[in-house]
Amino acid sequence: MPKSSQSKQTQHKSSEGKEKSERNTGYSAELTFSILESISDGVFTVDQDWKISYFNRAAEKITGINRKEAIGKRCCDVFRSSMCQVNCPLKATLKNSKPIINRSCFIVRSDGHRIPISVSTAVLYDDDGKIIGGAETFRDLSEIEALRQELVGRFKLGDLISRSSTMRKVFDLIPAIASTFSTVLIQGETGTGKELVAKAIHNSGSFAGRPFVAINCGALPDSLLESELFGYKKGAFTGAWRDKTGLIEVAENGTLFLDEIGDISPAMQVKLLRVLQEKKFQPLGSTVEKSFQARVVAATNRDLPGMIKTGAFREDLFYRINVIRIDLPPLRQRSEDIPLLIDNFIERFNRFYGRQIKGISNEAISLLLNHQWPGNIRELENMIERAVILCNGKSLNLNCFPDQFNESPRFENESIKAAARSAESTVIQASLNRNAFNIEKTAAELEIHRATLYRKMRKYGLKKVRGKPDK
Amino acid sequence: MKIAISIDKDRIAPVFDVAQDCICYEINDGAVNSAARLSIAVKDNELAPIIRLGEEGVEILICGAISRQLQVLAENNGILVEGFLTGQTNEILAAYLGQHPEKLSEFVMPGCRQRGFQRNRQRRRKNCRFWSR
Repeated sequence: MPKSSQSKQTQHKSSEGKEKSERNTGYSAELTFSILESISDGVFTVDQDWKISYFNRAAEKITGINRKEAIGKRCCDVFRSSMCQVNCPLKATLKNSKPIINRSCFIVRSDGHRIPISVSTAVLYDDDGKIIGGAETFRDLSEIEALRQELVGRFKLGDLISRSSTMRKVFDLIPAIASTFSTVLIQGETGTGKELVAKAIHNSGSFAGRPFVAINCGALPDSLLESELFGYKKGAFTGAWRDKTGLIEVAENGTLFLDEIGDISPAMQVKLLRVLQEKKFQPLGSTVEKSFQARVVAATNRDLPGMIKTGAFREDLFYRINVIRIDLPPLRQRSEDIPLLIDNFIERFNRFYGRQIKGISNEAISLLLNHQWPGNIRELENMIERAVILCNGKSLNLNCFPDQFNESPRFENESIKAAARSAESTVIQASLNRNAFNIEKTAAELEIHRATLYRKMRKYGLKKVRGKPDK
Repeated sequence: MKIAISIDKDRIAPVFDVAQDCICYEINDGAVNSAARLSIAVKDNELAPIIRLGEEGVEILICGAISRQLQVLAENNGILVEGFLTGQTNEILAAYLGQHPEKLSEFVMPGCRQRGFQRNRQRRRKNCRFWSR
C-alpha cells in the first residue's frame, strides 16, 4: 500500500475513533487534556511495553522530570518508586483489571530526595474495549508528611535539638542506625552532643529499655579503665577484695558508649580490639571467657585518621569502630540553632532554678550569634545557666553575660558611622538567622519594610549560607 | 577491587533503596575475575544494604535511583556511588570497565543527566586510572 494512502487511512481511522470516543464520553480530547493539565495530581499513562505515553504537568513537577525526557522511556526509570521492582500496582491492575486506590510509597528524585506519595491505578481501554495500557495517578504527600513530622517534634530527637540541615541529616540517620547492631563512631568537637547522639541511637531502636553504659576512656588510667571495662575477680590484685562486674557485662544487650576513644593507650587499644573482634572478654584474674553482646558507640574529638598516620591509634581498631560514622558539626557552623537552643535552655533552667525568665533580648542574641563557641553547645548551656541565675529582669539582656563576653573589639578605632553600620549589619544578620532567612518575618521583627531589608542585605553583603534550611 | 551492581533480573534495579540483590564483581586489571550474587535486603533496616556492601569490601556501587541518605552513608563507608543509571547489567559493566566513562551517559536515568552523571565524571576518570592497576 502506498505510504500516503496508508497515512490517510490511519488519519481517517483516528478521527473516526476520536469522534466515537467523544460520543461515548461527551468530552473532547482537548477538554480531557486541559483537565489533566490543570490538576495537582501527577498522571502518566503507559503502553503495553511499559513505555510512558503521557506525562502531565503535575507529574513533571513532582518527579522533577521534563515530559520530553519522560515520554517513550520505561516507566520505572522515570517514576523510580519503592514499589517499581517488587510490588508494582500498575502491573497488578493490568493483570487483574482491578484499579488500586491510594497505595503509599515513595519516589526518589534525581536530587536524591525521597518524596512520599500515594498512588492509584487504572486500566486504559481503546474504543473496542481492548486493553492498550494503564494510567497511574500519584499525589505528593511531602507537605502532609512534613506537617506530621512537625507535630511529632521535627526539630527534636531525644534530647537533641536542631533545625540545621546538617543536623537534619544526622536526625534522619539515627532511626535507621538504631535498628541495626552496628558499631557507630561519632566524631565532633568537644561539647557538640556526642553522648546525646549515642543516647538517641540507643533510645530509638530495639535497645531502648536496656542498659546504656557510658565510660570516658580518656579520664581513667589504663589499669583502672581495664578493671572498669572488664571487671575483676576477688584477689586479682591488691585491694580486689570482692568480684566486680565490668561495664562490658553491665551493658549486655544494650549499648556501650566509649567516649574519648582517641585518648586510650596503645596497650588498651589492643585489648579493646580483641573484644570487638572476638566478641569475648576475660575479667581480670579470671580464667573463664565471657561473651560480649552489646552495641558499641565510640566517640572522639580527635582526628583518628591523622593519629593512625602518626602511629598513635591502631588502624585495625579504627576500621572496627568506623562501621557507621556520624560527624557532628560545631555550633559555629549551625548558628541557626543558637536561638532554638537558647529558648530550650532558658525553659530548662527556669524549671530547675524556679525562675520565670521570659526570653532573651535581640541585642543579647546578636552577641551570642557572633561568638565563636569553642566549647560548642556545652559552653552555650553554661552561659545561659549563668545568665538565668544572675538575671534580675524578665528577659536576658547584655548585662546578664560576662564582661569579657560582652566586649566588642570590632568597634575599636572606628568612626561612629562605621560602628553604626557594623551594629546594623550584626542586628540584621542575627534577625535573618533567627528567622531562617525568611524576609517577611525578619522585616516584621526589625520593623522595616521588606524592600529596605533587601537593600540593606545587598549593602552589607548578607546572603544565605548554603546548607541552611529554607524555612 | 570490588564493584557491586544492584540488580532486578538482568537489569539494574530501578531503586537501590529497596533493591533485593547485588552482583559483586571482583575486578583485576580492568577485567572481571569473579562474580557472586549477594542478597542485600533486610526487613525493617534501610541501612543494611550499605553495611552489607561495606562488609564485603565493595569500593564502587553501580545502581539505579538512590536516596541521599544512603548515598551519604555509602560515601562515609568508603563506597563510591555511581547512581541513577539504568539498563542491562552487562552492558553497563562493559561500558564502565571499558575506560570510556563518557559512554555511561547513555545509561543515565531520565532527568538525571545534569546531576548524576556530570557530578561524578571527574571521580570516574580518576577511577579509570585506578582500574588499570
